[in-house]
Amino acid sequence: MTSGLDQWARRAGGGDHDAFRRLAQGVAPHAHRLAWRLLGDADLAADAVQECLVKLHRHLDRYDPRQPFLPWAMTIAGHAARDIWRRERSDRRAPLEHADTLAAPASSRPDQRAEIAQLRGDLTRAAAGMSDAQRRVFVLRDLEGWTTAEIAELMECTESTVRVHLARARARARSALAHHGGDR
Amino acid sequence: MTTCKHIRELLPLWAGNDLTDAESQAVADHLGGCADCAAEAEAWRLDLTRTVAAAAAEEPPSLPDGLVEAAVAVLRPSGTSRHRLAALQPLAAAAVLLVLLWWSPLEHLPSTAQGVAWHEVQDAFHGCLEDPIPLTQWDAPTGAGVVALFKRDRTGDRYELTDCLEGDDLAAWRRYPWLQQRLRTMADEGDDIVVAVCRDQQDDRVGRRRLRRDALAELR
Repeated sequence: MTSGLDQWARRAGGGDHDAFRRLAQGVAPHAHRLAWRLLGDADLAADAVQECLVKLHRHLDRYDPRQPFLPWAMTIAGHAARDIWRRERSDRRAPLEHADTLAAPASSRPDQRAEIAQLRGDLTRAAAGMSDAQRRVFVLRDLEGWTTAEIAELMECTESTVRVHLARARARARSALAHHGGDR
Repeated sequence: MTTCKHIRELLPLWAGNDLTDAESQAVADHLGGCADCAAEAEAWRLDLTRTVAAAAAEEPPSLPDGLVEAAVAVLRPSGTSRHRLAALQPLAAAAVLLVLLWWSPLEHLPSTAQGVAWHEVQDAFHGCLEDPIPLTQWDAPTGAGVVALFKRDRTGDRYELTDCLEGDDLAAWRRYPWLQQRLRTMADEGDDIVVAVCRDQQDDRVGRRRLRRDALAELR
């Protein structure tokens, strides 16, 4: 099944600039969310979106139209975010670390919102103890669904290293939730 | 021999299906005969699901207005086509208008309907803005705060907010490609661009965001 983005990508690859504009509008929210989760800063995430769009435009001829476009675009967005985190100081706060400043989604029920809000408070404490690498691996694997091989390629490390970071990140998050109880 | 300790070290990865086939088989074999580890494994699955659900519920702040459009405009192919010429027509009209304005006596120019007086700007920013400085003379300081850019009309009395950014490093805004493009466009159109800053002394990120949001809502 072909998505609208796939169709715009094919047309944009043929030089249709209006198609590229529509493609960029479709990709930007996804790239922004990924970059924000990885970088923890709204301004840097906006930078990453810009760089992602530039890279997409430059490398559109490498896109295989038989494959879905969005995962390919998100790989490029991940690389754009990585380029930025390398340039930036390492002491910036991560998105999970200011999770308690954000509102719970309006679509959930009040009891669910309260539950999520409390979980986020616990996550805030957990994320504060994670290294940058642990947090990024957690974001990419558990929130964005990347494979460990894809993460290893992005972070330029081995899959074993990714798995070590992932296990530690999950363990830290779980220990923060330990007092929470829930429905168990 | 597979010990409970070894198996429990694998459970964070088992919970997310991130083990190798051999590791998965070893865990499955052990859990089949160890009720304690089986209960721990189930707890791991549940906790990971809840953790991911809570983290995924976070939504990023909105993309800056016009960011995608500015990027796409910059990436427009340089070849001259019928569409490109059509896109230039409004610019040509603007250039003619600018020439006409340039030759008009200043005292006969009507003041712009857009923009507000500086004291109204200060009200929107809760009085924290430093005096506005022409962009060409402004040396972005380091440190946290809010940066506001204005178009100042020819009378010098009215200010139209065009951009407002907040961040940990005020100097960083200069490298935003979309903003640089917008500034170039404004400069090309002959706008008098001034910049004012509200420095954040306490690294109050939430306060900065609220200030920026309120000012944008008030002035745009």
